[in-house]
Amino acid sequence: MSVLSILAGPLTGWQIDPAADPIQSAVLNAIRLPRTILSALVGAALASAGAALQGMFRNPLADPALIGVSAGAATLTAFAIVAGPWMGLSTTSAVATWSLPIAGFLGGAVTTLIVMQLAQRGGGTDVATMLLAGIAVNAMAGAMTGLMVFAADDAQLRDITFWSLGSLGGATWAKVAAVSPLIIPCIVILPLNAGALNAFLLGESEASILGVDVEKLKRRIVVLSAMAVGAAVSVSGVIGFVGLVVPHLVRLANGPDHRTLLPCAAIYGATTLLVADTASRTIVAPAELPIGIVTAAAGAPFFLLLLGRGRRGGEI
Amino acid sequence: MMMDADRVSVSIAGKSLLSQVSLQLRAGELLAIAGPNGAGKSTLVHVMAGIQGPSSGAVTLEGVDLRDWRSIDLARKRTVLLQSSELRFGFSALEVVLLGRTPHRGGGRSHDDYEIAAAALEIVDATHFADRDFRSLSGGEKQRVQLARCLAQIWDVDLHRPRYLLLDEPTSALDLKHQEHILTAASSYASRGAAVLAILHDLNLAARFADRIAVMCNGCIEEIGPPDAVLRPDLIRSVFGVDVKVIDHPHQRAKRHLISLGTTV
Repeated sequence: MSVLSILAGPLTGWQIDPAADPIQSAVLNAIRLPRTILSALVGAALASAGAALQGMFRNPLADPALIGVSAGAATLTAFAIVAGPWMGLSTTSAVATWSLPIAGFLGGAVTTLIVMQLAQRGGGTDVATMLLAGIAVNAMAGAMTGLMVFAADDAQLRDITFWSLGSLGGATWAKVAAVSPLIIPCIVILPLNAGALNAFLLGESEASILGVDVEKLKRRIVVLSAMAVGAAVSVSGVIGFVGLVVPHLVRLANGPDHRTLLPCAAIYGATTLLVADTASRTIVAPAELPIGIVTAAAGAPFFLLLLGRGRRGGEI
Repeated sequence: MMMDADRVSVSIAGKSLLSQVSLQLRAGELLAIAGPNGAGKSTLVHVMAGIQGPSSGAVTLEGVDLRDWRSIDLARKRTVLLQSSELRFGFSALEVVLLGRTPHRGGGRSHDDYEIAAAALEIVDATHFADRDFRSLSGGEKQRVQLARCLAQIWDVDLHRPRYLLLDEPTSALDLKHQEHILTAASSYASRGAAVLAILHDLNLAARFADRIAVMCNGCIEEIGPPDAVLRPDLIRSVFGVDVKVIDHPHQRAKRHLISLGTTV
């Protein structure tokens, strides 16, 4: 509901007399509105994927960024930016609009699969190994992104820098159209697995005793999360902590039941990113702060707080 | 109507954990498994649960190989209480029990599911902490809640719809009173038409509540039969290395009671 009200607010405010000021109406239609929708989509994607991955890893600290999804997506996206022109694609062409989300998805999926594979221990996913593998994959992806930076020309360098800090500044209708088919199905399908994810929290063996096809569920969650996060990263860059913090806040309010958690995480994720984006545009106006800085500055202390609480509770 | 392990062997990384074990678990009975640590008791339960595939041999449920059952149909018929279950997320005890209804139509949300969960909590004497965060419970309380979850999963038992309850050390964390309580519940569940298999370390509990006892050692079943026939000093000595004296139970004439006399030299 908050998403709707935020969307409706500026709409009704701007369009009282659209004919009177064509510039304002153009700003709204070509810049503000796609940016608002893209923020909501990206926020919903990150928070849904975060919630689902935390359930799948049975660890409240699993975050798409922490286990390498975002870094992998960023690496392949950077590759697509730099190598695109070599392969005859202009970064402004329609093909490029599509190639970046697809590159992001592939990067996210591959890194997640690598991390999951490395963390397999005796039929289960070992959480400590998973986090360590995530660090290694992050470092590797960082090196490869660095290589892309090295190979990039000035314009590409700017693009990559923006990506690594996160920004919704380049939002266009074309980008909204490109990521919607990847993000919206994920947000819709992930909650359909809520019951199975709930059983999964008891443990993999327990879930299979309860009739959950454990391997199929894991594959489905990984693919959907990688799709959503990869697409989000490809248009907005790496925006940390939304996938970690938002599911936590929802759990604090509503408990860990995925049937409410997943839809609520999507809604609150969208809201959070809209607020963060507004902050990023207004804090240093007329300049614009990369949104990744805003979410990290707000999210990192929260993460530390969670770590502290988890350690006292003997959870980590 | 039974669960049948036929010449089941399991070896992992070259080490044989079970060799040629055959066991039939019948509807209406409580079968206890006893044996020293590392005898293969848990492995047998895992194989019968379908969590662990046998290296050779087969487990059939009602005549159909476990591997050929649809997992959802299996989940409505049999459940397993595993030894250690950790939960990092803040479900209440009642919500944990409701997870047992996952394979059923209500999925843990219907009115029936809540009634079943409440009744299951009542059986394990956990009603008074139903609303507490599962993570804050003691080891024994957690064990009782997990058992309630298992009961809720296969609640609708009767003579025409047998259910299979496999318990890996259900009493390991329980105090004296709740050991009695849980095994009374398990044996009354068996008498309603369920097949109950429980790993028990306390031979006296096994002697009182089990219809049959299987004594395992080194991946084999040494002996299986009614408590009277199995709980003999010579068998206990050869399997556990402990001397026992067997006496009649003071109040239950048909039951036996074991008194440990210390380890054999």
